[in-house]
This record gives sequence, structure tokens and C-alpha cells, in this order.
Amino acid sequence: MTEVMKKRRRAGQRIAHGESAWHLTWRRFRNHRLALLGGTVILVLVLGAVLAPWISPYEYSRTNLRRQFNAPTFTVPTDARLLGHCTRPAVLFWKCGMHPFGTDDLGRDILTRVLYGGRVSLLVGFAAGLASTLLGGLLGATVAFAAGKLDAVFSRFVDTMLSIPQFPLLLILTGLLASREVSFAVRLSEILGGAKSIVVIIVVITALSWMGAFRLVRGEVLSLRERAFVEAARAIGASRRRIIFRYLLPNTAHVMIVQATLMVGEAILIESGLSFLGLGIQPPAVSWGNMLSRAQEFLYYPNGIYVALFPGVFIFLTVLCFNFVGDGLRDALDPRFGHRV
Amino acid sequence: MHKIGVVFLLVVLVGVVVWGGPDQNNIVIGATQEPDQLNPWEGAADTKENVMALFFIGLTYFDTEGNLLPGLATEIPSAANGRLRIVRDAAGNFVRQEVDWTIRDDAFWSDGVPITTADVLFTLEVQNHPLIPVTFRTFSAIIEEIKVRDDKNFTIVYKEPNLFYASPTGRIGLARFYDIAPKHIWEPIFREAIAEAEANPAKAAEIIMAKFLGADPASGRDPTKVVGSGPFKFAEWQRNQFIRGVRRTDFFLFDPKVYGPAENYVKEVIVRFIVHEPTLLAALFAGELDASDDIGLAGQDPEVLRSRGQGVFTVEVSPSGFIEQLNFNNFGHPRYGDEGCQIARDLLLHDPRTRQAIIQAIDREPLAKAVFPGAIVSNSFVVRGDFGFNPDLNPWPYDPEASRKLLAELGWKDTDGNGVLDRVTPDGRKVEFRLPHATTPASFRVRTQELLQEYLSDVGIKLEPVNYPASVLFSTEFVNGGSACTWPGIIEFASAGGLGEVPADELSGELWGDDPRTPELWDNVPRRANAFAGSNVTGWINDEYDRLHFAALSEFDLDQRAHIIREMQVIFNEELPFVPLYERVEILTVKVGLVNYVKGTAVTRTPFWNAWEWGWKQHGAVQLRSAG
Amino acid sequence: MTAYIVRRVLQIIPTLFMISLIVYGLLALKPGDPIDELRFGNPGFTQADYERLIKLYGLDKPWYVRYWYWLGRAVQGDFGPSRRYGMPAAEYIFRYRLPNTLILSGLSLLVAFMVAVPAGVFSALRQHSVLDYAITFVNFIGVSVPIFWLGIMLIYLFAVWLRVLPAGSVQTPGIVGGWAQFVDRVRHVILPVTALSALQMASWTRFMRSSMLEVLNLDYVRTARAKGLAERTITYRHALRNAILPIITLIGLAIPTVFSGAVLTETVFNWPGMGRAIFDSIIANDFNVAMVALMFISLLILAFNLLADLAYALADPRIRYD
Repeated sequence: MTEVMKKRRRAGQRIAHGESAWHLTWRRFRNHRLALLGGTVILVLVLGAVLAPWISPYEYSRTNLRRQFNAPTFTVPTDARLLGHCTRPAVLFWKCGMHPFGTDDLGRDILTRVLYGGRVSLLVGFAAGLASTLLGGLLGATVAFAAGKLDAVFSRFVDTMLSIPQFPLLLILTGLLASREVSFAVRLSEILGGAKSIVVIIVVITALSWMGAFRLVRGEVLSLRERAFVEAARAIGASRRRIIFRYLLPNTAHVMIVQATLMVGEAILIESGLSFLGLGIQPPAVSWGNMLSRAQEFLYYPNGIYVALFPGVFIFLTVLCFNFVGDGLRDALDPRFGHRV
Repeated sequence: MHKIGVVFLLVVLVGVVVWGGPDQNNIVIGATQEPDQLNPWEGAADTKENVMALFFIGLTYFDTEGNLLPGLATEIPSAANGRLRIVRDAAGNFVRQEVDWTIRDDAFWSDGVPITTADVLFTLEVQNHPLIPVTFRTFSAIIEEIKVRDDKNFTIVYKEPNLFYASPTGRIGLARFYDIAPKHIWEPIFREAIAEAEANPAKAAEIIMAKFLGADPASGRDPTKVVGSGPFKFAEWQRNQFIRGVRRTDFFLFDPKVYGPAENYVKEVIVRFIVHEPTLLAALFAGELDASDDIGLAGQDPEVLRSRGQGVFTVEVSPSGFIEQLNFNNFGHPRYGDEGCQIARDLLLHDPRTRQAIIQAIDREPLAKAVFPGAIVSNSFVVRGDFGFNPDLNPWPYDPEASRKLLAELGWKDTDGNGVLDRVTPDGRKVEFRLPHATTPASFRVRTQELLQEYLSDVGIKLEPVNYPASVLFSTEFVNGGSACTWPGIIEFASAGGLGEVPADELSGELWGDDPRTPELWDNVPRRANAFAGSNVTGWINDEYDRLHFAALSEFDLDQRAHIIREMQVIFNEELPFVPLYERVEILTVKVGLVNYVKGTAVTRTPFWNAWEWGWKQHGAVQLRSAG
Repeated sequence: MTAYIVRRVLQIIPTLFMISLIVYGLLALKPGDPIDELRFGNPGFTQADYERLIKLYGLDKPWYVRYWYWLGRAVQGDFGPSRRYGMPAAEYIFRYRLPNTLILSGLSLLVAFMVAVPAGVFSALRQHSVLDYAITFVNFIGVSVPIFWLGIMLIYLFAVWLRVLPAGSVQTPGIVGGWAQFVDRVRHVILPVTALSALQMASWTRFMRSSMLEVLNLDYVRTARAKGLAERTITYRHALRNAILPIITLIGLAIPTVFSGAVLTETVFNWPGMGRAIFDSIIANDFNVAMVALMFISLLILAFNLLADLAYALADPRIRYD
């Protein structure tokens, strides 16, 4: 954190007594310019992804073999046959036939695919980030509060899991779930049909990255449980569950929020890595990761660089923004200056 | 301090070290696949790839035009030269087949030991030994006896007709190059490993693996022990990096009268293994490679490569002999009863009209162009250029109208207007035409899938891709499990469609169903009843086809055989047990100045077939061959 | 202290045992077996052959029985043969893969450390300068860019476009001995190390910067300043020594990432290391190789964690282990 931030924070502390904790946090966050910028960009990306079908005049899967590997273009071809299939003639300035990011190996509009790919990539990021943090946090809090044997066993298990190289485990798990052999996977694919690979990736990333949150929250709770307010709660006979959910978890929220934010970016990177090895999101579903992995073959084609450039830039941009936001949140929520119950 | 650092950086960046290429009269070839071992035993759980052709040559080999030429043998046995004899009884029935071979006098192993009939006998002994996990014994198993006349002359007697006699050990394809192994090197290893394995049956497989298949002559740990019969002598193997070979001066096929002095030809060959295809391309464009093999660049656009390589390298496109195909689950056929696959039955995939509708719904011409540039649309299970290829087949042009008509004829109609056809089954269920399509995530297959999805949706079929890693898709549980609905719709892969002597499909037998000579029903169709053994994974059966199949397998007259194979293609083309998409092509690059590095036909199998002829024009090598 | 070390070393054994159980179980559950490749596309292959081979390879027994056999032999140092390479799995990994991995991962850690510490210190000392912001920004890039993407771009730029560095592999075949080989090796290692160290470099720089800032504001540094010590002495003798401590733990934590994240870098740069070996052997159902490599990396991780803790204890006299 920077010197300036610290001064600001001290100033914030003075007036904090009359403000709610969240309001204060927001004020601090607002002052972190990069975080604000990151947050805005993420918002725009999410909106773009959610509204993709209404923003783009194209379908993301519809091919056009007459226009493979086009450079970015804003000119509408005069030959109607070159237009390809559009769902509507134009959306604002984006006319059918324009390709702001160019077209890919099958003549599909890259911008449209980036928008749709954002749906999957962001979904994977948010879902895996949230799930792993909640899972790890809850386990960490419970285990640390229960202490004793449970704590020892779980901590040991987490230590073990952290000593196994993660990537090979990811590979094995994805292979396992992608096949029909395991009954859990069979059920999964029956429920999810085409979207199966997305859920598999979320499950696998979650399964292998909750340990970070576990350690953080456990450590936090270990120090909290000896504190006076927890002692007091215990003394007045609060139930174990109540202590965990009412007193312990809220006080670890700052750790979890920061961890979740950073995990979103991390999950997007992991997804792209898995896709690069052919084990990620399976086509025809489109994600930034699988667009990128496919693009490397065409790197040396005329205009092939665009197929690779844009999904790469979007992954980078998104992860960067989540890092900015995570950084801003960390500073804003820093417990040393924050409120405690 | 800083200055030293800068100087060092300059040395590192500017001191470009070049090895190979015309300057040193060497050649560096880029390849994506590396052999696991260099042992000369067929199908012993490993892939060997092109490099084996550097270090070995068989009794016979194919040139670029598909002509069979003698290698270690003095001449090719034929009825005309009296070396091939079919003995028949008075009624004209087959009794036995005899093939005479003579090994060249000037044929030596790379360590100077002469190649003799003892080597042939030893190779066959290993191949037929029960503890050796050789999988391809089809032709070595029908040998009745081997008559050894002397060190160089022997006769093989077959108890059943064998069309593939051109290799005494029954090797086909690349394995032809190493169909004779050096006895003096391998025998002690073999005896010791077998003795140990027999003494310790529980660990037999591991002993064979470690002590025999991975012994020094195969692993290259001790380069002097890797002894072969080919034009290059093994020198070095840095695993996962490269294999290096040095030209043999005593190689018998190198005739100075034809080629000129040996010094004019490359002294050393290095095959560099670059697993990741984009990296292979980068190395090629960065000028690190003198040539690339025939596998690494598959699916690349030859025109793009050509425009990139102008003045630096040339590009050869050659047929691969493989047909990319959509196989249909035929286990909905009434003959399978309850043993079959319900989804396939609901979709009527066993009805030829369904397959005909689907082939006409796909515009295969632009599809092939987009996903596998250079590939040619196929309508057969035999590739063009094969002696049995039938050119007069229905080309099944793109005709979505005809496709829709056929589907309507089968009772499909979009009653609910959701764009997907539906019908009511005889037992009263309403089913939609949602067609599962399983394949590997190889990029050209994914692209195919995306295009198919579009074409089929135009006629009201919803294609539903379910992709698996190759290790899962090609696992037997999966690919042989059609009757158990592991893949209830389409499975896409490629299979060989010609090897010169006969169509490979006949060999790998993916289309025949029942062997009339055995009491079992549908021997070749994997079902629960036969524990999912057999190669006819689609479950398509046609009695007339089966009859022709076995007739072709024992027909020695080439013209007659070609005629039968053409008949089979007519049945195939009408019934379409699989929808042939296109014949894949192979692409290799050759640096300007490098001569005689060509592949030609699919029959040649490898661009390494004539490694002794490789040379640089700059050094006076004579150009004898060029890509057609 | 000695008791602590002994206890920690002894703890490694049950952990390794657990790891092997988890990994073996997962591998065994994965569909596909070594027979598949023999069977596919082979007409002569009968069910009898299949059963014979399944027995031959011991695959007819349930996975926990196989695990038990495997364990029994593994503790004696026998990790079984590699089906693909026909040599002991351990020999393949240690002879052909480990040296490359050590070069790539070791150098990456070293380079990351050598760059991160000065960059972090500089950033902290010149807080709010243009360079500080530049370094911070580059760090954000480092943690946000997909490793393999960075690798591909490096190749595109330096190998194909500028043609100053090789596109991949460990060395140029045929160059043997002396200065030429050394230079050749260095040239090959530059791009992969850049790609692989980017993440650590970035995160360690950030960490180093904030750690340094924190220390510079501590009482003893202020005291030192008040005593009138030279700023140089304060920075390097007092502050740096303490600020660098937390990094030691970070290095320990980074080991798994560097080793397993290397599979992407190895793939892009055609670098025959352990990550790729594990990946390939899992795909090819050659599980003995995957097992021995995974176990070895796990052991390495455990050992480095222990070393990091010990180093921490040695460097920081406030920490005591009893």
C-alpha cells in the first residue's frame, strides 16, 4: 500500500465513527483509481457478455466460408453473398457485414465470438472463484473453530493437497470427468448436455483451489476465536453455528472478498491453460481460452494474428482488472484500519 | 561489470550458431512424433515412425510411384520368375503356397556382419513367441515351414493363401522397413529375457518390457548396439530432442555409377522432435529446419506455407492413404434385438436412407477445403491411386432437397416447429432428431463438427457434439461399445484406405461382419456376446459384402482382385456404412537445394524411404526424383 | 531445533504416502488402459489376447491391490517399467527429464529472485517516482498474462520475426563441447525462462516493495536514522535484511507453481521437462512414469517447504521451534 493511501486511511479513521463500515470501505475503494477503472471495465465486459445476443448482428457459431481470415473491417461488402448469416441487419453502428475484430478460420465474426466467449470465461471465473472461496472459507472457519482433531486432520489434508503439483491433478480430474465411466460424470452429462465441459471445468478448478481460502480463513479464525467478543458470545451460550456464522465469518469477510476477487482472475487463467492443452471448454461452446488455443495454429496465416490477438487481449485485460480490483479491495478492507464487531 | 554483461548479451544474441544445412552437408528434419523405442518388433506397444527407415531396410520397399522394388532381396518373387508357386490339388483346390527368397550377397548389418537366412528365422521366432506382445501375427501365423537352402536362400511355405508374401514376416506399411532383425545382436538378449520371464511368470510382462523391448539395441543407450540394415548408422538419441544418424559407406543400394561419389550426399541426418505443432511451424519459419516430415504439418494450408516459404523452402502435398469418415451406430438394426442401442434405433441410423440423407446434406467440397486444405472428397473406402479404386461411384453431390425428401420418407417431420425434426416411434414415443457426434478435440475435427452442425441443422437435424480426448475415444471400452451406446450416433475418425497391395480397410477389417468359415455369428462385430471383441465397430453387416471380402482375400490374380474390390465399393457406396468425408493429405517442406526428399504416393509410406539419395545440389548431389 | 527438523522430516513420509494414494487412485479411475493401443485397429486381436495381456500387465486386479503392489516395490526404490519407453520409469524421468526441468525451473526461480528483490527495493525507495509506477504496472501485466500466450508471443517476436533466438528445444543438435555449446544452451534457455519466471518475478516484486515499505517505517529503522546512520547502511544493513525474510516463504510456496505450471511453458518451447512428461504419460496410459514424476515433484515441494521454514528460522532469530 502506498504512503498516500495510508494518510487517507488515517483521515478516514478519524471520521469513521459516524459512518457504516461498508460506506467507509467504498470511500476508500473509490480513491483507488486503478481499482475503480478495473471495476468499470469488468462491468462493461459482463454487460457485453450478458447482452451479446442483442449487441451483435451475428450468431457466434454461424460460419461463412466465403470470408475466412478477414482483417478487421468496417466496410460492408457490396456482394450480398459475402454478408453471411445475420440475425438482424444492424445494431446501432454495427452493420451486418462489418467485422470490427476481423473473422476467424471459418469466417465467423471474432468480436461476436469474444462477446459470447466472455460469457463462458467470466462464468467459469466467477463460479469457480466464488465456490472455491466459500468452500475453503467455510471449511476453514468450521475447522479452526472446532479445533482439536478435526482441525489437525483437515490441515494435514490441505498440506498434502498443496504438495501435489496442481496442473497434473487438473489434467487427471478433467480426463476423469470428461469420460462417461464415472457415475458422477454420467449424471453430470445427462443433466447438462452440451454445457457439460463448462461445469466440469468449474468443478475441477474449485476442487483444486479452495485450499488458499481455507488457509487464510483458518488463520484468521484461529486468532479471532481467542478474542473477547467470541469469548463473550460463548459465555452467553451462543450455539456453535451462531458463533461461526454471526461472529467469525463476517469478521473474515475482508479476507474472503479479496481472495474471491483474485481467484476469479486465477480461474480464468487456469481455464485458458487447460483449453490450451485441449482439456478445457469443448467446442462448439466458445471461451476465450479455447479461442486462443485454436488460434495458435493460424498465427502465421495472413491475418491469422487477429484470431489469436483478441481473445488473448481479453483474457489479459480481464485478469488485470480483477487484480486491480482485488488490490483496491485489499487496501480498502485492510483490517488494521477497518471496523470490528 | 556492466560492460561484461552487455558484451555477453551481444555474443549470445548475435553469435547465431548454425548447424546442419548445405554448409556442412547435413540435414535437419523436423517431426512432431518421436519413436518410443527402436526395436524392430512389430506392434510391440510402441510407435516407431519414420526414423526406422533410416536405420533399416526390408527385403522389399516401395518407390514414389508405388512400384515394389527389391531391398535386401535380389528380386521380387513372382509367378513369372518362378519364385512364387501356388500348389493345387487335382480338383484345383489350394494346397500350399511357396515363396523363394534370395538375400543379396552385399547386404551387411551396420556393424559389418553379413545378413543371412538365420536372421529371418530368428525374427520369425521372436514374432511368434507367446511372451512377446507382438500383436500382428496374421501372416506369420499361417507359415507352415521355412526351408533353408543356404545362408542366402530360403523358401517360405504357407498353409493358407497369402497375398502379402512380399514381406516374409508379414509386415505391412512402415513395419516393412524393419522386417528382418539382426540375430547376432538380439538373440542373447531374447534368450535371457525369455528365460527370466518364464522363471518368474508373475512379472513376465515387465521383464519382457524392460529386458527385451527396451534393451540397449532399442533404447540407444549404447549407440554401438543399435545395429540395422539401412542407409544410415545410428549415432545418438537425445530423448525428446533428436536422433542422429551417420551415412553408411557400405550401403548396397548406393550405386556410385548412378549417384556419383558418396561425398556429394548428406553425411549426417538429424531428426528433431518438436511435439507442439505451432512450435514446429515457428522453427520452420525461423529457418531452423531443412525439411519437415509428412505428419507434423497435416491440416496446414499448403498455399499459406508456399507463400511463406518462397525462395526458402518448397512444399510437397501427397495423399496420406487415410479417409476421414463419419461412422454410424448401426446397432439399432432389428437383427440385434434388445442387444442394440435404443438411441440409434430411434434415429433409424441403421436405415441406409438415413445415411444417404446425411451425406447429401453435407457440402463436402468446401468442408474439405476449409478443414483440411488440399484434401479430396471421397466416396469410397479405398483411396484414389490404389489399384482397386473404383472411379465410377455415385459422387453424392450436395443436395439438401434430396436429403429432406429422404428424411420425410422415413417419417421425420418438424411438428412442433422448433427447427428439429421429430417422429413417433412404433411404441408411441415422440423422438427428436438429435444426433450425438463423438470425436477427438483435434482442431480439424472440431472445425468439421462446427460445419456439420450447420449443414445438418439446415435439414432439421440437430448435431450434438460430445468430444473426448483421444485416449478416451480410442479406448476399446468406448469405440467398441457402440452396441452399449457409448457413442449412440456418429463417431468420427480416419482409417487407412489403401496400401498398394490391397485396400487397408480389408486388412484392418472394419467393414466385414461375419466370417462364413467359423460357426460363430458376426465374429467381427463387438457386442456383449463376444465381450466387445472385433473391429467392425459400427455393426453394419452385408452378406454379399462379406462374401466378396473373403473372395478378395484369397484371389491371387491382381485384375480379378481389383474387380472384386470395385464390386465391394459399389455396395459400400450405396449403403454407406460410414460417410466418407475426404482423403487426407500429407504435407512436407523441403529447403531449396535439398534433392530427392520426396514422398509421392501413399504407398511409399514415408519420405524417408530413400534416405541414401538425400543430398544438397550445392555439393553435387544428383536430383533423381521430384514431387509430382 | 534438531528435534524440530527430525519431526518435520519424519512428517514427510506419511504425507508422501497420502499423496501416492490419492494420485494412484485418481489415475486408476481414469478410463483407458495400456492394452487399448495394442487393440485398436488390430484385426487379429481376440478377447483371449485381451485377457492374456490384462493378466500379463496385472490389470485384472482392483486398483487398491495394484496400489499395494506398487507401494511395496516403490519403497524399495523400484517404480516399475515404463511401458512406452521400455526402460525403468525412474530411469526415464531422472535421466532424460529431470535435468531439463531443474535447469528451466531452477533458473526461472533464480532469475525471478534476482530481478524481484532489486526491483522491489528500488520501487520502495523511490516510491511514487515514474519508475515505481512503471515497475508496478509491469508487475500487474506479469500476473495477468497467460504463460503460454506470453511464450507464443516471445517465439513469434524473437524467433520468427527477429530471428535472434531459437524457437524452442534445449540445444542445437550437433553442437558439442566448449564455449559454443555453452552459448547455444544459454540462447535456448532465455525465452522459456522469461516466460516461466514472469509470474514469480511480478508477484515477488510487489511483495518485496510492500515489505520494504513496511520495514522502512518500523521503529528500529527510525531509531537508526535518528542515530544518524548513513541512509545506505540503513537501507542495506538493516531494512533489506528484514524485508527479504518473507520472500523466503514465498519461494517455498512458489515451487509447486513453477514445477507444475511449467507444463505450458514446456509445451510451447518444446522443452522436454517433467511437466510435459507427466502430461504425456497420463494421456498415453503409461502410469508408472506419471507416478514416479509426480512423487518426485511432491517430494521436492515438501523438501523446499521445509528448507524455507528452516531458512526463515535461521534468518530470523525471533522465531524459535521447539
